[in-house]
Amino acid sequence: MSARAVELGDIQGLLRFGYGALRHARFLMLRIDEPAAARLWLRTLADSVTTARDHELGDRATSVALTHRGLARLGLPSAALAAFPREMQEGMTAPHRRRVLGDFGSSDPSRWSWGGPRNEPVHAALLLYARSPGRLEEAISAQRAAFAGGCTVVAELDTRRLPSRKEHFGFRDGIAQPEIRGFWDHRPDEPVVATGEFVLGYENESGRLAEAPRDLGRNGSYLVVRQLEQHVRRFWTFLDEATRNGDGSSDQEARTALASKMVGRWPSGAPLVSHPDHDPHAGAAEGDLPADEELDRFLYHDADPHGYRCPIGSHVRRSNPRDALEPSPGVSLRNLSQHRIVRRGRAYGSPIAESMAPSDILASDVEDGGRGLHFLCFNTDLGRQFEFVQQSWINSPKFESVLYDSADPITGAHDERWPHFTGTFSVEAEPVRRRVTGVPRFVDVRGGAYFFMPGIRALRRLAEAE
Amino acid sequence: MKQEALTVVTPIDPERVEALSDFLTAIGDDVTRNEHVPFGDLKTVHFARWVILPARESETGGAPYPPQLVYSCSLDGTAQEHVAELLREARAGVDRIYGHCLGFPTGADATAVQVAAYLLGHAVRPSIFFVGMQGLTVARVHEDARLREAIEEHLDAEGARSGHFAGATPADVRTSIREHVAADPSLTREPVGPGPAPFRWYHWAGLVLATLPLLPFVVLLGGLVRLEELGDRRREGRARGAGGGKGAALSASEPHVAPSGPTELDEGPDDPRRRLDENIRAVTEREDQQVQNQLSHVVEVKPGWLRAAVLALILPVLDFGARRIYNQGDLLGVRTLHFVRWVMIDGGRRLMFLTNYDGSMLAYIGDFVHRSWQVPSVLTAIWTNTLRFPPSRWLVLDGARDVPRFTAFLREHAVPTQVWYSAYKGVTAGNKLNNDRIRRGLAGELGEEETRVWLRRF
Repeated sequence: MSARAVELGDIQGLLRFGYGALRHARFLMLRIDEPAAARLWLRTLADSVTTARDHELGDRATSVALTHRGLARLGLPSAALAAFPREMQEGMTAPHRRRVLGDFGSSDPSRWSWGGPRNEPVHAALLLYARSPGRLEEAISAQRAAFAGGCTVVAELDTRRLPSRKEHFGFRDGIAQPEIRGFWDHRPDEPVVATGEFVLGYENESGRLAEAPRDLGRNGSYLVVRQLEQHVRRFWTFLDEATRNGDGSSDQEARTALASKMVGRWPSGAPLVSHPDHDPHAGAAEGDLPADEELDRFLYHDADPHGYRCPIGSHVRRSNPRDALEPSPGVSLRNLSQHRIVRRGRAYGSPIAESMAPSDILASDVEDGGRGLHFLCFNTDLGRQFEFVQQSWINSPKFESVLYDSADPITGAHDERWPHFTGTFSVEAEPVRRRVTGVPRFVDVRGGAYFFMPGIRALRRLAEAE
Repeated sequence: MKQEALTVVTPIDPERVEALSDFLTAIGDDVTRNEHVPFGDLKTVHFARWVILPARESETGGAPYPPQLVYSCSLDGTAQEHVAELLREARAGVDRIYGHCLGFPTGADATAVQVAAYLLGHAVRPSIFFVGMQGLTVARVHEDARLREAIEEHLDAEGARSGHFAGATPADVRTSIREHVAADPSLTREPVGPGPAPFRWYHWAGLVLATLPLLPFVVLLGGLVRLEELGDRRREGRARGAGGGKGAALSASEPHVAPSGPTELDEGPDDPRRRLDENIRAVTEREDQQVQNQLSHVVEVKPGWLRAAVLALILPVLDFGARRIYNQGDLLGVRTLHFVRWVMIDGGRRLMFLTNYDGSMLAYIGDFVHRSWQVPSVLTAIWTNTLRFPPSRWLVLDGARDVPRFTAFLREHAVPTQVWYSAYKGVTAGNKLNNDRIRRGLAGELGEEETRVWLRRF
């Protein structure tokens, strides 16, 4: 398999750009009612979908993706349908997959608002980004007119930009992203991940092609969408109670510190490994915050092998262990490159307090519900990348055979049915750890699906009438 | 007390395979509370399974394989003692299960002695038996877990009382723990034995000297294997080059190596992979019910004396390594194995692999392939002698390192397991090791650095 140049013009732009400058976005989940009409719509859409070559960002961006059921609905022959990987064919809500992803109890798909067995089928996702609310509404109206008769909207996922790129718990999000070979010019010291880990049709980290139909798959990717509802009040209430002073008063500093220990970064995004004692950017204005690359440049093995700075069970350390896996840092980093994802999530719902400050959140009388993260990520091997991270690192109470009953304290699934999911979190310290018990579930899944995001040529072929 | 393997392989009455499958599946659906085999009362059992090997045609031109029932158990003590306990606690269940098998002593006057003789008479010695923690009994797994929990709770309570041990030294904390444990009679037990003796450098030297005479055979066999590998590669290349339909892809699960001919947007012939997909689905549906997982796997050995000779040579060597060297919780960085065995069955025509491990299948394979160079070499050396394993080079290279094909090999020859029991569902191999070290660190004098290391275990 010889390396070939990445065909940026044929890849949908969302794989390469986060569209951070397009602060307004909405994701429409569609059901295909009339395949012929839907195909006509896709043909026109193929001309306006944003590609990875479109550096000059206008005031809009468009992306489209289809579920396996959607592809079947469009009339894709069974041979092509069978060429998709097992995860795509079975879908996100297959019973075995629920165990893998932690979608049980309060996150069971039967309770979802979309994408679940009780909801309307989701056949396609239309992702629209714009610079202003007005532009966004224009784009949405235009698309509604274009797919009218062919598709119906079964879920409309609005998004919201929070201050300082934070998510609803108050922590800067989306910092660590993999360097994808062929997407940008790379600095010599930058670790780069094979293109094929994120774009179908190119060699992945094993030197092979990921599973997909040979022609249809080229320059496409698999998109994971999950609506994650965040129980913000529950989160800060738990932390407040866990850090109370002897006299029952709140200890704001300890509260934020414990939350940061759980995340692995301070609210500003500064990693605990580099700044173990206090947030170097606390209270900084949005414009003064360092860029993602600054905040992403750290390793664990030398600076913090025992987790005294960044706990071993913390969110960032377990979703991306970097050089911390056994048996050695070199092996760990090589291993890691097989489990990366590109994240494109956006927050949704109004914050409990505009300031995002825990005191204001606790003082407010706004209840939990209706806010969280629309989690989006790209990969080409769902089992080895997204699902692996979910199952073996985030949701595993045993992470790396080291822990006992500590799933990810922020996003992990703690479930009373499972005897070992009792939800503890250890803060490693000298002389001995400090342990927090009774950690409840702070995030629940409200909807989701696996999509195939085709390349532009593939999109045109899908639109061809039979 | 040592841990042993018992593997009983019995022929099933071909008319009654489905009835047996239904019966076993019913037990397996509620393993801990089923009324036929009260596993909870079996004190000698770490892990146990009953798996039906369905009737199969041979792909090597030999006689077809009849349906067989495998009972595999990882136990404390001897097989005889275990069978005696099994018959004491679950005689009715055993009678009912094995009533479906040929030659089983049935009838009202069949004695326990006769039944035991039947079972032990059908026992097959594994070629390799790997024990994650040699010397660790089921009882102690439970006791160590209880001990650790008690200490963790004590640390929580003390920590809350003392401002998280402000000002305390590691030695102070250890003293506090020892005092708490000593004061609780439910936590005391007899002192733990020293554990298996470590394998020292002079043992390695002795091993090398002892195996030196085998070197010419190793070289000869290695050369012959290499020739065969090259031949296989040429044959596979020819088959692929001939192109046409999906048939060429049968020997290699490579969906992305496009055969020439019609593209997938046209209707294609019925995909033989679809049958394999059903097997994969049946197997994966039962995975991940809890932290531990199991796999039962059977594959035919390549015909011919060469492969049989290779296996006869390497399996005992690897078994020695498993029993004597790598038996303290860490197999070159892999810490997710409880018990693993390879068993030759059907007169050496098939190789069975039974494993109990932690985490997902994908993580398991990733563990094996990516953490060291030795483990994938060992797996390749064993399985390259069987059909459909990704091709090796020089017996130990490539092979298992091709993760997608290795995964396909494991999944496609996996046998759905009707009954699987674990005596300690929520305890990983890593937990077992850590708990053992916690217990050992309670006793005796520890230096400052040793105390620090010990306290990190909490």
